[in-house]
Amino acid sequence: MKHRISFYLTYACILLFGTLGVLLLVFGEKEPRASQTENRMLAGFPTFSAESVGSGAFMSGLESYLSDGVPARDAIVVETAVWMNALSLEQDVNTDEELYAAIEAFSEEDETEDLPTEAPEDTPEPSETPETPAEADSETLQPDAAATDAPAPTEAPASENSVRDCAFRVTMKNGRVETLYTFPKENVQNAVNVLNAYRAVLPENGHVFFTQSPYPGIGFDLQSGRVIEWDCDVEETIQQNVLPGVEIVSTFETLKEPLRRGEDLFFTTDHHWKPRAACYVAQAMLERIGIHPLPYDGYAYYHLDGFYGAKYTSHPELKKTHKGDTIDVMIPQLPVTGYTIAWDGTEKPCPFMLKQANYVSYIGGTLGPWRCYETGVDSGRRCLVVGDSFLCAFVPYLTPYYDEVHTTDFRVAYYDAKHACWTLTDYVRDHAIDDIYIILGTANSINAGYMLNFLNRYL
Amino acid sequence: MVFSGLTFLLLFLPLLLLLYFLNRDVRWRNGVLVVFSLVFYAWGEPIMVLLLIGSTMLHYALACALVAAKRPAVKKLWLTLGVVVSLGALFWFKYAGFLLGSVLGLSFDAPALPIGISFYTFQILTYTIDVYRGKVAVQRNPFRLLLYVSCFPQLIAGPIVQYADVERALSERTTTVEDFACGMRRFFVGLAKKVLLANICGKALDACLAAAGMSVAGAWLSVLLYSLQLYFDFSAYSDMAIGLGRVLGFTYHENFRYPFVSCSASELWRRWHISLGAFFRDYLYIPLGGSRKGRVRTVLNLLIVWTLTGLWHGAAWNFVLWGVFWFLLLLAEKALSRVLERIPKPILWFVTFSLWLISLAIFYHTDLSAAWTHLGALFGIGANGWIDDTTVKVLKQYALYLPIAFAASMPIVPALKAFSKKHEKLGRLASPLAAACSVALALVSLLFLIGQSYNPFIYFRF
Repeated sequence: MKHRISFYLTYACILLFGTLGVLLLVFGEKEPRASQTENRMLAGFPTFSAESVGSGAFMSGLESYLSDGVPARDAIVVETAVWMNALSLEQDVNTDEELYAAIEAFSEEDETEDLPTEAPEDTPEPSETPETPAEADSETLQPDAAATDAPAPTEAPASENSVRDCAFRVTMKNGRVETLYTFPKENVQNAVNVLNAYRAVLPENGHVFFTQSPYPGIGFDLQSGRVIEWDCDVEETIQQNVLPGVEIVSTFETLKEPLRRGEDLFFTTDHHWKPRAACYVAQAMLERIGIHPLPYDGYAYYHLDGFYGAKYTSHPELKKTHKGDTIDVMIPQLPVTGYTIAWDGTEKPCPFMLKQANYVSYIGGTLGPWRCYETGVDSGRRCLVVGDSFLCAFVPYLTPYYDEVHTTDFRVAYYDAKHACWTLTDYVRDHAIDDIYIILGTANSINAGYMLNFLNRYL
Repeated sequence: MVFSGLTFLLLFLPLLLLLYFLNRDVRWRNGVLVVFSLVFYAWGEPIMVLLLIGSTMLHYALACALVAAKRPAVKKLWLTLGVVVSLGALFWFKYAGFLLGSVLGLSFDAPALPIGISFYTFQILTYTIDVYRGKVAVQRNPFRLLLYVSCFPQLIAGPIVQYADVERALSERTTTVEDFACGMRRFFVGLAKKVLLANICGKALDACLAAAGMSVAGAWLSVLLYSLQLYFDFSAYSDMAIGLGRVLGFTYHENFRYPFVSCSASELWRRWHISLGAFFRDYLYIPLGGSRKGRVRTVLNLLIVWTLTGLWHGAAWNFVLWGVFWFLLLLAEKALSRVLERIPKPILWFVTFSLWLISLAIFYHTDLSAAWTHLGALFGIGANGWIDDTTVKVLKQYALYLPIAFAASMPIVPALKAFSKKHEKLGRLASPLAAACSVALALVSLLFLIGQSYNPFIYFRF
């Protein structure tokens, strides 16, 4: 009897699995479709042919189809992340939901605890920053010019407010247009406000640059012809509404043609851009301020094979069939000295470029709260790069043009405002920063907590 | 295909069980199992399945010829041919690149390694050698031999099943309700170990190794995480293989017996990858003379066995060093056995576990310079301080998870079983309760497979 109950239970479980499999095969969505939660195209049913079976493409495609086609996938992704976090003493910021949860928790703590006591009285209090995008407006976000040493921008936005709902759309090879991201009007307005606020803390001749990088899958879709066109109007919309000195560079537009030429711009085993892509974007930004930057091939590199990035974690078969990526590690033209600046102001050496097959090869990661790279250049200018891990591959291409390149990453695991000794405004003033670069992956960008909350919070 | 893939769980397994249990006739069941096993293998290696079939058919023919031969020299010739061809294929695919590239310094593009070749080569060898020894009868039905080699539960990551252990089951086997229930329970527990423990250890390990410059704490934490990942990954696969084997009517031996409770190196190797140890003992160490031919010969035999054990795991110098490391430890243990007897067990456990972790620093890095750096960092040589920010971050992030994972590697389930046997009422509830828990674990694992997806089986590469 006792084994009968066990039998029925285990049998029912297998039956459930089988039923789910059959339902997915019969009723699952066969066409690829966009997931705005995961910022990627979900897999459709793979093409069945002798070639696809022989190459193994059908098998891996079927696995992706089953995984992507499960009903309530979005909820499962979020719930499993929440369960993982339940065993953690520190929030792992992988999804927007986690990020928002972390912010919520952080806000609750902040109700009883202000920013560090060392912070000067004249810095904007966190409570002055809007809690939700809906509350955000340019008035509350503009720091008091007198309260900071930085001069306030004197000119008005370039045109009348034309902020609107925006989107990133892809045209599939069958002509169907899919919306991969939508950018609600209030989030676009928030981005405009944030960028203007950042511009306000800089000297008069300073610049704020912003870009958001897509993830590799989107690039590969364009290269493979699965997607034939990209169309994103959010960068243009933001550019029309920001103050002079704020430059928006569309990574989508910048990388479109190189991708079509078949250039290697994204890692196949990792979710990051390759330094070549970062270099294109850095070039586009530097050209906006009259610098003629070195092309990618103007630098020397170590070419290291066998890099398996984070994407390998979601593709079981990858390591058996994939030799990994080649990672180019730039050899700096001048010796660059890097150090982290801890919450108590102590400095600790950190690497600039590491000769190892790992994404952390680039500037050793973003753990902060602050990092500084002294470049040995004498340009009289210093910059600060704010962003997520996408900034790592980007930073090396600024080093020939700035005396110092500073970085910070406001994600919860990388930056703890309670322990940071400067607000961003203080930091910019104390380190005589001229330009700020905001470099984010799309998952952390306009619609995400990073842009909606963190960039304001730590201003 | 992998056990923890959705294609296997949602399509392959339910369909296999449906067809397998449609008919009680063992010929039908064998047919279903051979077809599904070949599809299972071909799913990941469409072409390499031909190598598997070819190798099996060769050994089928050689064993028949061996039995038919009357002169011992001819028998030996057929056996030698089988061993040379099989080991030659294994050498070509797995070690030619290493020998020609790393050892001789020649430029050589190594061929792609067929999945599980180390496992199925050893399995087929046990058949031919045992036929030669007269330990088992020759298999006249080539499909049964193909079923033995290709049987999917143990095909690509073991345990290494010796032919003698399944000889009878190939022609005669049944599955009772108890077999099905216990087998599926074991499979679900294995799935949970893989998805909920091994994969997350792997994630933590990746995060830990992403540190720029390794601190002492980071070096120890990373080998601890790797140890847990390796154990849960491989023992999970063995659990799933043993469980599915039982569902299909086969009895496979245990492959792991809680190795982390070991208080000596020899005990650890009696508890870790038992089927590999048994293979080397039965088909290499003992034929070489074992410990019967004097001290020097015993030492030499042990050195050969441990060097080959290291090489079996991969064609790289670090695996050779790792094998030699364990050879030296076992040798030292034999020499110091009387002293060790007097040391308290907790200290022996601590030393054994620490040595195991140190050996993993060699095992993990196929690049020897990285292995030296890691080994140095374990003892503070060239380390980036005592503890680095990344290690602190990983410790915080996995703070509650690490003790759970470590506890799960300890023999808690056997203790619970023993407890329930002592209490009759609890004993009656134990089986349904265990089934309910295993089903719950399977469902949670399915959700994690969809939501979180760190999933490579480490032992595929061996």
